[in-house]
Amino acid sequence: MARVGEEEIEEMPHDFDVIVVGSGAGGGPVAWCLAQAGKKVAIIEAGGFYTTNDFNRFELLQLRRLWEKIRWTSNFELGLQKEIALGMGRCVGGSTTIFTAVAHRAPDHNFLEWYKATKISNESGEPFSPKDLEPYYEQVERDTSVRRYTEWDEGLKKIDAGFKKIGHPFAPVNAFIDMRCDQSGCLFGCPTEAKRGTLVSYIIPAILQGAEIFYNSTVTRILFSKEGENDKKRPRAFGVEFVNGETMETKRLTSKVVIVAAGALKTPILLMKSGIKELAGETKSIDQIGRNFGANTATLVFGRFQEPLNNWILHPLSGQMEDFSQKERGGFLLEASEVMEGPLGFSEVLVDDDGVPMWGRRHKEILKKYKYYAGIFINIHDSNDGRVFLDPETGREKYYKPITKEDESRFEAARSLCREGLIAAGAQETLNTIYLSHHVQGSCRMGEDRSRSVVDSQCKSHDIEGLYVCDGSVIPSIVDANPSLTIMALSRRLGDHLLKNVLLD
Amino acid sequence: MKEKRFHLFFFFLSQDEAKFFETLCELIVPSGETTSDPGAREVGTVNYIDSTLADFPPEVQGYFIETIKLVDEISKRRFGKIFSDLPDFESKDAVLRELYAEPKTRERLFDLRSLVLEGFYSDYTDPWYDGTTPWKALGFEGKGISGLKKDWSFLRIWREWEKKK
Ligand SMILES: Cc1cc2nc3c(=O)[nH]c(=O)nc-3n(C[C@H](O)[C@H](O)[C@H](O)COP(=O)(O)OP(=O)(O)OC[C@H]3O[C@@H](n4cnc5c(N)ncnc54)[C@H](O)[C@@H]3O)c2cc1C
Repeated sequence: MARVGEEEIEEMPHDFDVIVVGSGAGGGPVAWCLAQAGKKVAIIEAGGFYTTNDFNRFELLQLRRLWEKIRWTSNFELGLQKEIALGMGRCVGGSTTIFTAVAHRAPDHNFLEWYKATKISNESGEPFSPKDLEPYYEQVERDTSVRRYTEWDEGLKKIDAGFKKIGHPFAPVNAFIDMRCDQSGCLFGCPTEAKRGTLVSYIIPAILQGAEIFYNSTVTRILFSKEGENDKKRPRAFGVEFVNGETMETKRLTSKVVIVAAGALKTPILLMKSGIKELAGETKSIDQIGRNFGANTATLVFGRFQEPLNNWILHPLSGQMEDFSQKERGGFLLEASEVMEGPLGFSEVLVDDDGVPMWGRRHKEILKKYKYYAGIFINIHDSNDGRVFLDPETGREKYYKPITKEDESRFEAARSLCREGLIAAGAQETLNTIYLSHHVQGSCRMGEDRSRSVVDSQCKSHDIEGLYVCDGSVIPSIVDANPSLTIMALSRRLGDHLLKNVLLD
Repeated sequence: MKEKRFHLFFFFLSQDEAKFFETLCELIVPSGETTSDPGAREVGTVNYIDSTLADFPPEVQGYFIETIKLVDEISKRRFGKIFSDLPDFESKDAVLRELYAEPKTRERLFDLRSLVLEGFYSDYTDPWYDGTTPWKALGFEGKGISGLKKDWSFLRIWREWEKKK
């Protein structure tokens, strides 16, 4: 044992070459990439390890197993009225175990916005462009069997017919779904393994390549050695400490490189709780941790049709309408068809005409018609103006994500288009829902401008050696598409970078 | 509907707290006119809530107890009575709306409401319940679940029931 500052650590060699914290879209590909190149990899995941046979359609059981507790924003503290329910997965595979598997690349204009936001650059120092990510997009699309998903459900067929009448037809999405899909739905894990999230595409293959997985294990802090110690010029991450949720045992593991991929809600919290500020000082980039949080905020509009659609049965979100997705054209993307895959989720999101969550007799009557509903998911292009932080008084995690006047008018335009399309499709009544976000991004951005990013263009911390961040939090500004393909491509790219430049034998 | 409780106590809730949740259950998912239209009261949502809270960590239990107190305070201020003693739908509804309207307590409204919705729309029923289930009443069949036994072993009430059997 050697003393490093206040930390007592194992002498070299380290337990692992790399520790990856989190097994979702950001953690999975890089873990696999390194494991299959023969590196010693540990994956540490807060949630449980469930696989295909565990995924049945019992909504509550799966919500408890696979989902993180919904976090609400505290926008009221900013004097704002509207709150957003922030959702993510908490299981091996992260949010990709419960995602709806839409697999779209970031459109070209997003890359320009990213460069403007943080000066993110490629290896030659030029502005980061679609070309720089293309090979990684291609690899991930191959690894995860991305294909055009054309098996539309009755709900989507109806919605599309209505939207055609008003001049905005839907198109099939690309999806991380192979041909085995029995269309059982996605939000509670895929019971056929057709959905190629990180669990099946990367984590299990990584384990087969020798990676070690510690599940039900929450990393409580990253271990750092201080500047000047061990002949290091800069502070360095050398491992993690984590608690097993079942045995409550605390364990430490050391590694040459630590990759934090705990998602945009949790990564900044973990960095802050690890005392990164105290260690590295109040640098510009340290101050960026938790800032620029974006939510790609969403809401739904449901339409009640005359005949039963049993729309929970099918893969949700098989079609999209992107005529208004660019900021300048309206800034909203529509995807369909969605009824939350079960009555519980549906019951939770409904609001009345004043935006108040519903309960009581009317709510119950609506639920009795559950099988007649089909819905449209609205994602808006909002700003990276939110923040993830620890409440200085209570030490609790907090989230701000304002819904600005501009956002509200985007939602209003989108809702009114949805109502028009649904009525044209034959819906007899439409219903609104709460605001929610499943696409959290941007709370530890990547880029070369240290005053606007936390990690560099290779995902490496500006301040700490051996520390990388690779998950939704590094995205410099909101992606006008579902983000996981982009996160996976960035993760693949980090794997490549580490093999070529850092983990040389 | 017959009540065949196998225990007369709650794992976590006091009698008063249980009464609070029974009142809340009736407000959020009211009973129907017939036995084929059960509400949260009939299927035993309050037992779901009791079992769920019993296994929550102490700080979360404390949060819910604090929320009950807050609701009772609103209720007393507005109507001179605690929530479970309010006579009609309108006054109870008004109390919950106030909990929602105050930004600081809005999340508490969602959390209370979620407990009841989970207890009902998850298709939970008390182990001894033999009436129409919530999913049956909705005509919701799920997919690929026929023949599969629902696993409620994460709830204390079901674990105890299995032991008794
Ligand atoms: C319901 C839902 C539907 C979605 N649908 C789509 C879609 O159709 N298409 C799309 O592209 N995107 C979709 N998304 C978004 C997509 O899944 C996420 O953007 C993506 O998975 C984020 O990747 P990540 O690595 O940032 O985080 P996650 O995938 O969320 O992974 C983070 C992991 O880290 C773990 N973790 C957190 N803290 C710790 C800790 N301290 N110690 C150990 N582990 C920790 C978490 O438990 C989690 O498993 C959806 C998301 C949700 C929730």
